[in-house]
Amino acid sequence: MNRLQKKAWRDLGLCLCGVVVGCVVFFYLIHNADKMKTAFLEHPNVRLLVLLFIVAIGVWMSIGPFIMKKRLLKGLDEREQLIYQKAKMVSDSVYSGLSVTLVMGSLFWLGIKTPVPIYIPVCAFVAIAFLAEVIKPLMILMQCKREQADE
Amino acid sequence: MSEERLTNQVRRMRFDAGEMTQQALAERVGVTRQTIIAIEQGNYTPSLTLAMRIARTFGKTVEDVFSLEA
Repeated sequence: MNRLQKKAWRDLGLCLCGVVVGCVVFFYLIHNADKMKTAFLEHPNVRLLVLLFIVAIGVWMSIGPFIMKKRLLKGLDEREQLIYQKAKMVSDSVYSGLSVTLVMGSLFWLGIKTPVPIYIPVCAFVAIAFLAEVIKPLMILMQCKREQADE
Repeated sequence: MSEERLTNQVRRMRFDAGEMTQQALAERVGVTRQTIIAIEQGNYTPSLTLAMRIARTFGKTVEDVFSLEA
């Protein structure tokens, strides 16, 4: 197993852990939706916290790769860096594409008929972010598998 | 413009250099064995730096190792 594969497996593991934690949080939110709604509407601090959470994800996803670029690609040779960057490009495309079409589309569609709970768009954005992050290591692992078959 | 393809003599030169293994070449030029395999199979076009490192390992010029074919 080369460095790229190890890195991909580690990324995949982290993403799956994130998905598990995300699912637990999601079900907790659904289960306590009324309490959350009250807290959200009555306490500005809760609104601020949610807003900060969303902004933090957005900032991390846009600036993070530039800050982490050297660390992310450390130990990989030029071909492996290319594979990683291609996989990241696909992952970013999936994130932006799904965000726009699914989240905005469903918000507009549902918004016409019924009010949408605040946690829905937040959860949808986070879920799409995790899905996009899972795609990256999967693509890398598939590429490595294909190369090993060619050897 | 006709499509040109980069071909290389890495495999032949490895054997000329005392049957050097892919792993040994990879270590000498600072890449993984998979990258050497990909270059030999023509699936990956190396950067100029890597091409020069490979050529230098064999004591040849880049043109001796890599060539463009129409």
